[in-house]
Amino acid sequence: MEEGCRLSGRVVAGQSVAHQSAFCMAVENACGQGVEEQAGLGRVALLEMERVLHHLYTLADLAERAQAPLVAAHCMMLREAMLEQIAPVTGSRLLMDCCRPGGVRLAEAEPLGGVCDSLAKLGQAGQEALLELWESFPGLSARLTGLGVTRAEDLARVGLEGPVARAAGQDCDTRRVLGLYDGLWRYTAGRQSGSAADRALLLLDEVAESLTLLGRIAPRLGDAAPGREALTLPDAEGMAMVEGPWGRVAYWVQLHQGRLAQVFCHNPAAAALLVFEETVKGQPVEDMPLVASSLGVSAAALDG
Amino acid sequence: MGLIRAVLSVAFRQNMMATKPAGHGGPLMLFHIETGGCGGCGMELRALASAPYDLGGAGFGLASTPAGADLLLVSGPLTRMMAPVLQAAWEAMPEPKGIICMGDCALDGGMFGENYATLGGLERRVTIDLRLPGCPPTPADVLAGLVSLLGSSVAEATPPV
Ligand code: SF4
Repeated sequence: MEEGCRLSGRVVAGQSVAHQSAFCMAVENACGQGVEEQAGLGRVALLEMERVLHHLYTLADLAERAQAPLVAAHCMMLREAMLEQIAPVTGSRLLMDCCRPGGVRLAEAEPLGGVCDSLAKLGQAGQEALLELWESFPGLSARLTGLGVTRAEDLARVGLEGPVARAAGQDCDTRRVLGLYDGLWRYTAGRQSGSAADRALLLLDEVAESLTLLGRIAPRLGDAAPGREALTLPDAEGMAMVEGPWGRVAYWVQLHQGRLAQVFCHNPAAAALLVFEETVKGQPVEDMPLVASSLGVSAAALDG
Repeated sequence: MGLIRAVLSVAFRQNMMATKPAGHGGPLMLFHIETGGCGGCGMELRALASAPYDLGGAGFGLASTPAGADLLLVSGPLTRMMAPVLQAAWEAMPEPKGIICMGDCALDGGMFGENYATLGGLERRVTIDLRLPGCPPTPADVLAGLVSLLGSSVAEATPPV
């Protein structure tokens, strides 16, 4: 079980919390056991921290490829400033191994609420400055506008959701149906045209949205350390899903004789590749890395 | 106004962390190749190559082709698909050259081990000039390892992150 959990966190870096929390929830569902409220809130905090860090990394990559290294540097500097606070608590800069079946595992669990609060404050000021820079940096918006426009029928055909679909005006977010987010989350992001420019601005919107959520969750997390439930493993199956940084991540597990017998994982990587193949038709070759980055095409996730 | 502030803040942060290597001419050029894995090592290398770290100031640069590199920096387990690519990159590098393994996967296969898709790590296959264990090693760990190649002080080159 430990090995399975560790491996799920290494399907694709930058999405470890999404994979590990979906894996752990699937195991808990198979066991017919939930986690205590603090642990559930801790997972939400980790999922949203991961989304912020991931989006800043993606924005830096996009800016770099669009010949805006200064903007890229700012994205990475904001990310590092946040990591200074996050890493001591999680014990991992990439938030690996923070979720385990039955709860969470943190290097220092007590300050999680305080970190959420200070991230919200630090990040909101940083996000506003970054948005201003993104929109005013010479040529950046022009470079991305009209680039890699996704078509609604392609998205629907391959079932790609997440930020790529949201930037094309679709209302799809697994957080809407997850009990974990009750009273915490409301949908505020939304772009319409489906271009790389829309996707970048949507990621910036989502950074602000996740930071607001972290600010809201902070007082509920307080100083209490999230605990961990001991699980009894029956012969059973379980399934669970969360909204990862690039969309829905779902796990199905089968337990047999107290062990993990089978695991199936779904993530948006294959669908992103199919949409990429449609989207780049007729586009200049030099634009391909930029379009791939804005659609979340990842070799690691594809072979994960 | 926002743009000017942005330019100044990046320049200021990087200058604070710059450490010029002693006794080395040009920068040592690294060619990074990801031979599989989760991509976490690649993300940490990218972080190291970005602000507020100053990889260039520490005496290293990232080469865009193996022909322009002094050192091959490998991350991820060696997948069967990537083995010929790794070989080709190595052969394209001019002498003298060396290999750096970043992360447990590149060293011994890490979580992925040896199976139908991966050949494990490079540890038992080639002579490794610098081993950077961890899953993943942090940018500060990587920088400290790289700086040790030049014989400089690790503390001087590690940014306060
Ligand atoms: S060593 Fe760890 S972080 Fe690096 S590629 Fe392997 S699994 Fe990913």
